[in-house]
Amino acid sequence: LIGREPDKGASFDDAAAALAGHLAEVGRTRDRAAFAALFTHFAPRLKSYFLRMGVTAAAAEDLAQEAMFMIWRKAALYDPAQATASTWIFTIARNLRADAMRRERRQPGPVETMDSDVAVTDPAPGPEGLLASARSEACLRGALRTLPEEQARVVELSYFGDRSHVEIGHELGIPLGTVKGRLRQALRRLRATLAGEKS
Amino acid sequence: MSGVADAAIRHHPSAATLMGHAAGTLWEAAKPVVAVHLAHCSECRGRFAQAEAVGGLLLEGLPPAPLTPGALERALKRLNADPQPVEAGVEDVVPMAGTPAGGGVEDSLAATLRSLGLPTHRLRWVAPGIRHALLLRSGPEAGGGTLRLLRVRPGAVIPRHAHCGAELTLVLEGAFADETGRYGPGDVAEVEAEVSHRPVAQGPSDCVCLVAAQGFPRFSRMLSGLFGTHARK
Repeated sequence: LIGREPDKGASFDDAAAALAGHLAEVGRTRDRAAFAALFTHFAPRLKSYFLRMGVTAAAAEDLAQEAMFMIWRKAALYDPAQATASTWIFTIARNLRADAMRRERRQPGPVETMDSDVAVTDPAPGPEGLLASARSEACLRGALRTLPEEQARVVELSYFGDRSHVEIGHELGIPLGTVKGRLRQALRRLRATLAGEKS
Repeated sequence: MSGVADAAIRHHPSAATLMGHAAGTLWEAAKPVVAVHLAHCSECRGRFAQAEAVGGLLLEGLPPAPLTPGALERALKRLNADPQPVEAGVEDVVPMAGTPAGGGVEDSLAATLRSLGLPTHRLRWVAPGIRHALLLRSGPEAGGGTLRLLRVRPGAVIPRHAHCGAELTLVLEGAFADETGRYGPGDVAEVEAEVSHRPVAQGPSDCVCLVAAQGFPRFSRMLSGLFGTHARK
């Protein structure tokens, strides 16, 4: 996923701005055409994301539908200054996935589970959210492509595929400390790129 | 934990932990610990926002999976039965601990736990100077962790122990110190598996912590009762 796509540059940014516009529009006016545009772009990607949980195609599509419905309901909370549409929608999908997995895991017996997903609780928005704004994102995208293959692989596995860091270590045949080290290096590199961009 | 300035926070969760939280794959019991830290630490909120942006970019880059015919029509039809949209402010926000509405420390602590969807705690003594409450126990599929609330008297020592998995401790009130440093309100101590440590509560008031741990702690000497496990050699 990372590092293999050619840079789409300006066209990507235009597309990102258009998607943010659609999402804000749904929030403001409940515009169904804007929702349809979001659906066309995101629903197949969301299905792809949920498929990586290891569920059936039908279940993945149901979750994608559920995510789109959540997007419709929550669009008024979206602030384009805080995050791109992709990032905001990613957090919706991530929380939905966590809920789905918790339901799946819920078994009879004295296993306590949490009622609400604390991961849903986004921290209070602040200026730091601007890191995710479009200009920074173009930069971040460039930085992602320049990650060494070994770091990119660990980042990719940790976001998709529902593996813990321990399991990623097993899969790649490397110690847990190496997994964490690569993630740390990747995040540091991404941050350094962004810091350079801002100055 | 009232008035914790960001500058006072010295110990943060690791980058891997923040990324795991942003990706949604962090073990269940650790999530509340990271959530409380994020509520108090703008630096980590920045790193977290960035890790979420990475998720957005990866989502954008996923190969689209074809939908079944009529998927868009079904989605649009569902909007007709739409209940009220979710308004701003409905989202839960982790309140700052220590900012009770006319209550004491206990009230603010209870409010923090409530906001995290955690049960009301009832502390019980497990060792001299140490009370605890089990807040959450997740199954092996969710990382097999436990989340506990600990209240430790100044000077009391948690006997030296190691873990089969990671341990994340967040200080809510007071302070403790171990071989790796001193931890005050808002600080997170992240201890890797197999690392052994011996935390000591530091005065003047009790040290209150949230402790998420994977696997059973293995104490290096006998300590009956604490953590509901038996000491091993």
